[in-house]
Amino acid sequence: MSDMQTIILQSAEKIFTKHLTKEMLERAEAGYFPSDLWQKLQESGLLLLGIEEEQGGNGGDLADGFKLMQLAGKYAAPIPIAETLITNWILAEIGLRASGDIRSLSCLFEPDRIVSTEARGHISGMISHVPYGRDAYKVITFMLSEEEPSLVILPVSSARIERNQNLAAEARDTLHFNSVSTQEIERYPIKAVMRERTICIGALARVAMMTGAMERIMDLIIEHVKTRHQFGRPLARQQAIQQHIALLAGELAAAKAALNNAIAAFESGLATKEIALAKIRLNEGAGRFAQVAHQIMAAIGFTHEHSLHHSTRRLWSYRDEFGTEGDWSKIIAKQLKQANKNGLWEYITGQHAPKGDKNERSTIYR
Amino acid sequence: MNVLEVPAVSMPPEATELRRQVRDFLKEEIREGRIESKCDCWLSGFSASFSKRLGSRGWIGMTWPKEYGGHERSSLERYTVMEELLAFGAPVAGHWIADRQSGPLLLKYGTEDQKRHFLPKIAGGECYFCIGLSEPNAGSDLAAIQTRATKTEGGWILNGSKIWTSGAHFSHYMIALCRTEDLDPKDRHAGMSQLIVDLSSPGVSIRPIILMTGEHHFNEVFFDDVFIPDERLIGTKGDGWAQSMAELAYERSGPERFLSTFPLLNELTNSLLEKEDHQGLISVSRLMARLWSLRNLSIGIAVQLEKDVPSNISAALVKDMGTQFEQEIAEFAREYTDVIPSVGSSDRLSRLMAESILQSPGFTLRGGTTEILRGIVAKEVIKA
Repeated sequence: MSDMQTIILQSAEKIFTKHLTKEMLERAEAGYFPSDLWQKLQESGLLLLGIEEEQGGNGGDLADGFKLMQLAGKYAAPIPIAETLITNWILAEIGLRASGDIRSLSCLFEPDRIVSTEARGHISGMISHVPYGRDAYKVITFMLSEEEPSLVILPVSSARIERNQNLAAEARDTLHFNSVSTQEIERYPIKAVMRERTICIGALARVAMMTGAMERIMDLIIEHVKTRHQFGRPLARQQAIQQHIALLAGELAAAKAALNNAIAAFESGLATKEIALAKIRLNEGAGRFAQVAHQIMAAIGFTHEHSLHHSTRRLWSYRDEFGTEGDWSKIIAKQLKQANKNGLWEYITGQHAPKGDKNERSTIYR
Repeated sequence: MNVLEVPAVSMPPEATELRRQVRDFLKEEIREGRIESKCDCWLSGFSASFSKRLGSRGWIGMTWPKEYGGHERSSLERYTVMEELLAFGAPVAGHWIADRQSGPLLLKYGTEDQKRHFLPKIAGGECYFCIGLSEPNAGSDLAAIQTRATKTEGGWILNGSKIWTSGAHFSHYMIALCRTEDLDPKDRHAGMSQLIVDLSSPGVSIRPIILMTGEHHFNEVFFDDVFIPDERLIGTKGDGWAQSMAELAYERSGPERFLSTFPLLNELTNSLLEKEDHQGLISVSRLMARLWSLRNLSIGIAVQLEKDVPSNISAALVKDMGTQFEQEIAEFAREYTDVIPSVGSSDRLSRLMAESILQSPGFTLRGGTTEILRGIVAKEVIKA
C-alpha cells in the first residue's frame, strides 16, 4: 500500500467512524439519505479519486478507489460511493468531467435492453436496480439500438421512480423514462469494450465491498468470542467455535487475495477473467461467511438490535449485484471453450492481454 | 486482520520463459513414454531417473546458492517449476521433500559441512530425505514424541520409532525430531532436537505400512541404538521444536496442497470440451475461481517466505482450503461423467478418478489435520 493510499484511507475512515453510527444505519434503512456524510465526502475529494485533476478529479489511482469501496463496505456505508466513483471513471474515460454529485447506474448484469428509442427525438424505457436512484442526480446506461453503441446520461428528474430495495434495505430503484426528449439527455458514442469495462468495474466494486463487510463481521465475531463466556470459559476456547472461526479466516483470506489480485490485474488491462473469478469466489464465500458468522453469534446476532445484520445482509445483497456466480461462470465457461486440449492449466496461469493490446477482446457482450 | 493479507504478486517475465521450457520438457517426457501423469504425484509418483533428469536441468534446489549446487533463481521461478510439475502430475515424489523442506532447513540452520555435503546431492536429484515427526503415540499432539537421543562419545544413541513416514523406503536420510532432554511437563516444547539419520545405518529398520489401496508410501521406522555422529545435529540442541515449526510454513502453503488432483480436473475438462457440455464447463468455472484464489494466496506466501515474513496462519489456511478443494474434485468428476473409476483402467479419466478417490482421505490428514490447522488459525486470529 502506498503512503498516499494510507493517507486517503485514514481520512475516509475518520469520516466513516464519525458518521456511520448504528443509529444512522437504521435511519438510512428507513429511507433517510445521510446528506451531511455525502457532503463531507464531497468536500474531501474522495468521490473524485482515480481521476486526473484536469478532468475535475482528485488524482490517486483506481486501486485507491477500490480500497475506498472496501472501507465503505466495512462501515456498511448506506450511500452510493461505489456507483458515483464508477460513473465518474466511465465518464472520464470518454473525456467528460467528473463531479461529486450523486450519480448511479443499474447494478444488473444485463442492463442493456432497458433503454430504447421510440418516436424520433424521444427515448423511453426503464433502468432497474439503480442504487440510490431516488437520490441520484444523473444515471448512466448504454444504448445499443444503433450500429454503434452509445453511452447515455439521463437526468433522474425526468424519470418516474419506482422504489425498491435490496436485502440490506439499501435503495435499488427502477427509473421509468417515458418519452423523454433527447434534448434532456446526453449521448456519446463509445467503443463496445466500454460496456464490458463497466460491468467489470461494478463487479470489482462489489468484491471490494464484500471483502470490507467480511472484515467488519470478523471484528464483531472476535470481540464476541473473547468476551462471551459459556461453560465457564470464553467461547474462543471452545473447539467447535474455533473450527468456525478458522472457516471465516479462510474465506476472508481468500477474499482479500481475490480482491488484491483482481485490482492488480485490472490496473494493467481489461481483466475480465480475473474479475469474473474474483466475483465468483466472493459470491460463493459471502453466503458461507454470513451463515457461519450467524451460527457463532447465535440468537444475539439474529436480532435487529445487534450490528451483525447490517453487514451480513449486505453480503447477501452484493453477491447478486453486478453479476451472480451463475452469470460470471458463463463468461469463464465461454473463455474455457477457446482452450486447447489439456489447456485448463494454461488458462489458469495465462496472463491477460495488456491494456490497449489488439488481443484485448471482450467476452461478455458480443 | 492484516495477518490474513498476503501481497498480490505478478509473475516476473523470466518465469514465462521458464514455464515454457518446463512444459516442453514434460510433453517430451510423456511423448517418449518415460513418465505418466498421475494424481497425488508428489507423494505417489516415484521415478529416480526422472528426479535425476530434473536435477540435471537445474530444477531442484533452484533458489539455493550456487556454491551448494543451487541455481540462485527466485522463489517465483521455483514456484513456476513446482506448479508445472504438479499440474502435469509428474513423478516427483523422490526428491520432493528434500527440495521443499530438508534442503531449506539445512540452508537455514545447517553447518557449513552439512550444506556442502548434502545440498549438491539433493540438487542433483540423487539424494532424498523423509520427514521424521509423527510417532505411534504422537500424531496431532506432536509434542508428545518419545524418540530419545542420548549423548555418547562423539555423537548420540537414538532409540524409538517414527510412523507414517512417506518415502522412507526410498529415502537416504531422515530429519528426525527427537528428545535430547527429558520431558519438562511445564515446557513440553523444550529439550527437542533435529538429527539427520542415515537410513542405511545399523539399527535402523523400515517396515512398510500398506495403504488401503494396496500401495506402499508410508512406513514405520525403528531406531534401535542407532549411532548418530555429533556433526549430524541440525542447528541448536534443544531448538528442535521451533526449527520444525518453521519448516511447516514451507510444507503447508505450496501448490501441492491444492493441485494433487488437478490432472483429473484437466482430463475431465478435456472430456467436457469434447462433448461440448456447457453446463459442465460452467461448473468447472466455479472450481476455477477457487483454484485461482488458492494459487494467489500460495504465491503471495511464497514471496513472503522469501522475505522471512511469518506466514504460518495463511499457510495453514492454504492447506485447509486447498485440501478440501482437492477432495471435492474427485467427487465433482462423478457428476459430469459416466466413467466408472478403476485403478488399472486403460482409460485415463477412469484411472485418475480412482487415484483421486482412493488417495483423498490422506489430503486432509498429512502435514497437519484439518482440525489441528483450524485450531492453530483460530488461536492466532483471536490473538491478533
